[in-house]
Amino acid sequence: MALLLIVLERHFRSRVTQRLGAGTARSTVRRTTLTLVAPALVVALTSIGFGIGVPLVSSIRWTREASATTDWSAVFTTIMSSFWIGFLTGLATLLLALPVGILIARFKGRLADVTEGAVFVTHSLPGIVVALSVVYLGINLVRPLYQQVPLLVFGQVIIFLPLVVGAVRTSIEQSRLALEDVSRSLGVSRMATVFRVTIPLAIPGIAAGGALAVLGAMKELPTTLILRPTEVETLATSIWKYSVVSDFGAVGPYAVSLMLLAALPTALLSHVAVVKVAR
Amino acid sequence: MTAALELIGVTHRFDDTVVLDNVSFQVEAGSITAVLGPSGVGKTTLLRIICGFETPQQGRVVINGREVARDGNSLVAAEHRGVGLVPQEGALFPHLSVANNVSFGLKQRRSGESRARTNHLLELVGLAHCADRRPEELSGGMQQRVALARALAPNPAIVLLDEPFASLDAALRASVRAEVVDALRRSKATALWVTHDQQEALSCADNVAVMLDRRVVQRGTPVDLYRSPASQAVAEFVGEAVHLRGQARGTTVSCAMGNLQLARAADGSVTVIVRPEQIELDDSPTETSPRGRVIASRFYGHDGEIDVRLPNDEVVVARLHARLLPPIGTDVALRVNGQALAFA
Repeated sequence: MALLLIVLERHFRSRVTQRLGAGTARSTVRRTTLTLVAPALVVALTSIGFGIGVPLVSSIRWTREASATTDWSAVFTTIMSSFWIGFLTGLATLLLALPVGILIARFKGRLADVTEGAVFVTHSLPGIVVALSVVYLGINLVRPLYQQVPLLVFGQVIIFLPLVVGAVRTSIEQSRLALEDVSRSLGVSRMATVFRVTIPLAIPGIAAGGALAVLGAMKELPTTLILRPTEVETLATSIWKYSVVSDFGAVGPYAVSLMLLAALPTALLSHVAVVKVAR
Repeated sequence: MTAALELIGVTHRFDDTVVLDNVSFQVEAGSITAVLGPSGVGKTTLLRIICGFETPQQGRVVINGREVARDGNSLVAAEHRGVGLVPQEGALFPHLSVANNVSFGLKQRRSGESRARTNHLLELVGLAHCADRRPEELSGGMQQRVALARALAPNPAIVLLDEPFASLDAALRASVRAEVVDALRRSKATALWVTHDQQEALSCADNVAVMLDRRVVQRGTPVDLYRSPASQAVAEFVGEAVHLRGQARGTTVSCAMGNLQLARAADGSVTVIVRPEQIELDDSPTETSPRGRVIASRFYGHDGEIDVRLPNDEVVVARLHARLLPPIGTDVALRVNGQALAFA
């Protein structure tokens, strides 16, 4: 099924769209009118209401009801480990996604196709399957790393790599090849061109990709549950741990923390989106 | 004079399609050479081959006496060829200021020397006051001038300009073109200029190579190309042409415009070509003067054109001073100035 979708997607994307036409790139002027904005606003506010308002309000209520019994230092430790694992995953995913994204966007050929296919096949697998494969790998090949942070991050990287590669690839494909040609004609090697032209131009996509990975890793559950070091709890595992025993009072602080923490990369993502539209 | 660039028998194919067929020419150091050809004739491919982004299957590319490509092998990588490139629409780096665009190809970009070089080049193209601006704040013409300064900065053996003004509107094009030519002349740079615009090639270049149908069909100075084109196709491509049927004998040809002198001897049935500006109204016609009736008249401001139908139904175009344009329907007598061209 996933393979079929990949083949179809590749078929349609082979007609690459580029910026065509003469003239200078200008900033888009954004105009808004009330008649257009009003219905859009209603839809947006409704989805925000259900998506954020309801969980936020109930989480805050749970937190207040159970505030006397809450172990705030445990909540703080959990926030820090969630943040740390998210940060490591984001960083590691970006470091891998950059070369892969550049390869796919700029060096068309069998190697690029196979790499892209490999990356996206894992995306179609349920997280639990990836986690179990990593467990197998950990037990059989890298025993000392089993249930250690590096292996957990490794599992997360596999899961989020496709998202980040997609973001990186898209932003690299959008920049004009002529810019890289000019760079080389100015005496700058292919490798140095990647660092001086390709990557700086793709920064919005790279930032968005990194934010996606951080966000994903912080709220990811099955892989984290299986691969985390036994003593480490993340916000997601804590929420799961307390909600399976219906201890909603204890869930509250973790849920609120996760929503606040997730707001950071989300803010970055939407900032990037706005900048991209304005360009 | 030494050649800054030599192409010797360059042939290039994409899959089975021949894009360049045995192209040879050279560019003298310090000169501006135009490659003139219609769109899709392989001009951009030619530039990419010189830059080192494509490798020709056959032939040699020599830059400043150093062989950089030969028969399917690239001997010198693009970044080591010393070829400056001004692509279509400038292609400035959008993430860098104007000054940083210009200094992009300099070694030790933060040194005083680099700064002086950057300033010098921005002054050369008349944009010293824009050093700290962002590329998107500049007009299309200014962007092209920055792109030229950037290409000149590392002192390349040759600068390649790929249809540099195609995206500018007509009014702006002439002035930007003049500024670019002036900057090239003052920096004594060698330039190869690719264009499909006859006027641009004839007015800016010292030498022109005409490309038609994937090959270079004629090389020469603008005056040579215009006055003695090697073929009818070149004659028609480098300027407007009036066609007449004629019978040539040696250096004269007889046609509906009378007996004309030929630039090159010919014999038998020929197509006679004269330029519209060679045809004028004859104020003191004789009995043998060609006559006809004005069937169309176009006023351009500085000058104008009329279409005149001759008695044998052939139509000639004459370019006249605007105040001389006769109204449609007038019977006029004509004469031809200078020599005509004849092609079998």
